[in-house]
Amino acid sequence: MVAETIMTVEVAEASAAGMKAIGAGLAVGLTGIATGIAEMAIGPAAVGATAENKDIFGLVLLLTVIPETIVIFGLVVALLMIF
Amino acid sequence: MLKAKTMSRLLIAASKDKLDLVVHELYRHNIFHIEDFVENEDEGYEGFKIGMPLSGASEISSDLIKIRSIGSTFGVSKDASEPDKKSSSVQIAQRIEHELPEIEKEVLELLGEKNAIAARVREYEQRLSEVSLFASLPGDLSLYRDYDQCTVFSGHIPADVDLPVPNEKVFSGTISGNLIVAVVAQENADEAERFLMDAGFQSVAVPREDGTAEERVNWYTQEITRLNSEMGQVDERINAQKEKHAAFLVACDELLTAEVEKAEAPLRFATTEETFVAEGWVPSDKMESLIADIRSATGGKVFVTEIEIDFEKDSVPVEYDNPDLLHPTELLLDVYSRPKYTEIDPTLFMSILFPIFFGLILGDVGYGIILLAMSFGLRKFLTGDAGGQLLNTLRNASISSIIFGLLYSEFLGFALPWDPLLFSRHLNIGGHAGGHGPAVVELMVLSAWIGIFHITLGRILGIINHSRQDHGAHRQKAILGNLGWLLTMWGILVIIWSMAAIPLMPDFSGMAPVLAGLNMAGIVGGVIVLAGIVGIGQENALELLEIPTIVSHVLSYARILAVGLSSVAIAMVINYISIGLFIEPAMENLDIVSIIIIIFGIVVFILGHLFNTALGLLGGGLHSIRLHYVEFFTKFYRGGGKKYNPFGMKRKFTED
Amino acid sequence: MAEVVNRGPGSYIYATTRMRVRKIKLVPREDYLRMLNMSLPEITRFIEETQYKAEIDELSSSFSGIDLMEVALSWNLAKEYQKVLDITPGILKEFTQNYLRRWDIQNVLNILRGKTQGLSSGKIKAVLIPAGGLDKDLLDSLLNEDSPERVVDALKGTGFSSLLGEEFPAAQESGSFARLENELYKQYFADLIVAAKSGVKGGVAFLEYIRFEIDIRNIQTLFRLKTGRVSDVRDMMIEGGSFTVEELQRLAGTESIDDLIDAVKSRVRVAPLDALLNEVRENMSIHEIENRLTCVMLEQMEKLSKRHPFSICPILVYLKKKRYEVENLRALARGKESNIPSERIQDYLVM
Repeated sequence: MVAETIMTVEVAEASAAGMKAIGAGLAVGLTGIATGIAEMAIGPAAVGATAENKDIFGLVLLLTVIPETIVIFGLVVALLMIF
Repeated sequence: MLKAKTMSRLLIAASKDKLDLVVHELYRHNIFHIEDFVENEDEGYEGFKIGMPLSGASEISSDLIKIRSIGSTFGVSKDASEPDKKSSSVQIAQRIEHELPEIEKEVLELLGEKNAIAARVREYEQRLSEVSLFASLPGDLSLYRDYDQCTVFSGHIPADVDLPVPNEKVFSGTISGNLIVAVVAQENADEAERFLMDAGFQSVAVPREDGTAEERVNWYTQEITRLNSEMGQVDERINAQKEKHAAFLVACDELLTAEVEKAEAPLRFATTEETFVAEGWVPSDKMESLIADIRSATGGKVFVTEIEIDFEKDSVPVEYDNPDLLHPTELLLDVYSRPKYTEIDPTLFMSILFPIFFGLILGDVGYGIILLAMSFGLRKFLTGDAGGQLLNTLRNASISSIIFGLLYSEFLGFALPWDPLLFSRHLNIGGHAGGHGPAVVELMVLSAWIGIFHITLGRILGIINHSRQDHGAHRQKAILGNLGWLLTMWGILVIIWSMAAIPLMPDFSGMAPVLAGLNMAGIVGGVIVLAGIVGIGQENALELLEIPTIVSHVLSYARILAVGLSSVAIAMVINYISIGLFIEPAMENLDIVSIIIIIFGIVVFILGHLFNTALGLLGGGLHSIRLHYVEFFTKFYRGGGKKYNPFGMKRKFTED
Repeated sequence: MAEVVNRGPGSYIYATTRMRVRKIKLVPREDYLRMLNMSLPEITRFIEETQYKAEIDELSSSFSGIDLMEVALSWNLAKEYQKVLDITPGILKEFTQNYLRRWDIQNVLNILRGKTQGLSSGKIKAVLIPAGGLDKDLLDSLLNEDSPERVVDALKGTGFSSLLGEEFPAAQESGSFARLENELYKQYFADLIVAAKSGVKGGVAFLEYIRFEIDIRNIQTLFRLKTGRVSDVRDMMIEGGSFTVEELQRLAGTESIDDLIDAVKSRVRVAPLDALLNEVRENMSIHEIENRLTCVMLEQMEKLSKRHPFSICPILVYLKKKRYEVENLRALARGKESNIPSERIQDYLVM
């Protein structure tokens, strides 16, 4: 409240770029957490099933990465923000 | 291609005395997929029972149990062994009779010796642990037992105590749980015991041994070492036996397994008192020769006929009918589910598209070469049909990523000496990459196009599948439903094009608005969407809820860009850290320290790229497969076909 | 920290998924039907090709014929159960351990019976299945005791001791262990209920499971007693199910089987049980009824395990099914050994 800030064009540009970067980071980070939560239940089930039957390793590995779509959307959003 | 191998349903019936002839003939051909008979009182099979095994099954089974037991003692297994040469089955049969009892005896003896030694080792180890507890005890161990007038208390106690009665006591605090040994007169024993219990005493008897504890500890330790070396000798003898008999054992196993499979075939047939009926499937092109051979083997006294396939009830076994080139991709299909007999076999599409997706994602000459080398180097370790298929798939994928690497102009994250021929994925990391930076928007649109065409292909295949498999009103509804999905997707696209200009896509946004802000193209798009929604809704109104998946499925193809770019980013970061931060600065001024730094930089470089290769393999592979399984297959593919598994055996170790 | 990780949802999902996959690997009905037409060596070979490979391979150098089958089956069962205990996490492990104590009861009773009849320890050992909390070594040391009294002494501090101390002398005098057995099982189920009600997560599913098992057990006993005309059944009934012991006593007193069936139907609302009970009216042998009740129990437990997918239920269902698989194979082997026709053996299989 007390400090006075002088906004030059450079500062505004830099802060806009910074905000963009923070936004991109949040997009990837938060979706990453969401993916982790979604995979939390799939992982142990996948490992358990594979421990009993090695043949389904391929399928199970695939099921495990299904929620990765979420973080990929985040990544795409981040990329579009930055570039 | 695109269709499973044509199968015919065969019914073979004959009197029971022809059973072994027919079974032998079927086994020899190795093309007859037996339809197992289950006692369910099916129509036409009332009163039939599961057949009894042929004579000899019992004896062969006994022999097999022995052989497999010996095999597992030696650690030889059929799957792990590779044959030097095939042995004749007649010879093997003779050797089973003459040599097997001898081998069994040898093995039993060796095992007996081994077990005896192991038992003694266990016993001595047990004693050793008991005795070593008392190692601090002075004098002969025999001094601590068998008194009429005294009682000996020995065991663990939390802390040293002074007994309230006259006693002789030894205490040692050096072992865990402490040791106390106290001798008290018989008449004071009760009091002493009560006192000790209160102090937390846990009784451990002094071992019944002669000599001092220390002597015994040494003796047991020596004995255990000696026994272990004896054990090593026995193991060597077992190994020698293994070398000698391994080939024979696997050949026996194979021969007898074949025999027993033949002998137990009637368990899968329907029989009455006098006759048997076998039903099963044969590839249509081989049917005639099989029928002819069965007829001639039984002197014509057999009834063989082809019966009509009832697609509603029968599940026809599925054998792929693809050229060798497509064979590797069948593995990816089997992992999901084998196609049904009546549906389109998508192996062809996957064979082409999977490597392209993989290449688009990884797209790096360096990684492509590493993976290509891997696909050849691993052939020694990954044997078997599935292993070969996997490696061939990897080979195709790595060739594709080399090609795309050339187009992208990428080598381990570095730029090749030409500008990207496709879109650039070069990031601006460490200030090295010049140029324009990555063409994210273009790549994104490219990904979307791939998705649009992939999904369109899936829907078209879905229409074909439904028109083939379904009947009547249901068929029409399903076809219109799929068409509806297609129209909705394209309609949405047209609307988007009418509103915004997107690179690499048609642009209708220049048209003048006609109605409510929409231009002509927008209105056409809206009509298409509406028609599509009607198509979806008439099949199943609930599916209308799924309409947003159209967008998310197309967007899901953005992973081609996203996973690819992240792989490039990691590669560039590795290069920047190892070269930009370690090697380059150190090169300017060479001394011992900088050489160490250079070596460190090289290690970072190698480890980093190994790590990124693994990530690239997983990312490129899994996401390409996923795009097929989730986005592509859900549009048309059901799967759940039964694997064609003919009665017979590919023999590895024996021949007639 | 390890404890915390162990208690997360992940380990539940892991363990129950493994059990589900294991359950699929059990011998299916068609294979039993085929085995009925096989000879003993063929059956042995057949199961050698399934989950029993390790045991048969290892034991066939020292045993043969029916002994090989019997020993291999009990080894396999014990091994399976230990494995299950190894992979079940946290509170589920405690439940499972408690549940497996029934094998301790069975083993202890077998040792006591054998010792009372003066059988050699080798013979007794053949029927022991070290699948519970009393491990192989402890059972061996019990077998080495000279008299049944000393066995009882040696069991001090295992949880059976007070009951054994009270009941064993009478049992030994009368020569019948039935009452002792009953008391042990009553205590066992009472303990299970206490464990389930202790307020821990997952207890509800466990309790539901136990209650159902108690019900089936009581109904089975009632049917068995119906032919014997026993006037007081209170001692033989287990508390904690849907019926109180008094109600069960009243049921046992009813005149016809029909009344009994109606009463049971009105209380235990389980569809497959209803169907079975309707069939029972049309004269079924006691033995068949028991067998069918077991099937109903397995079916219902399967349902429970679907309702509580990440609970103790899938684990217990697997343990139960595995037990019946071993019993089926044993019945098959014994039947074949004594040349009983397949149709009769089939009646004894729980499929």
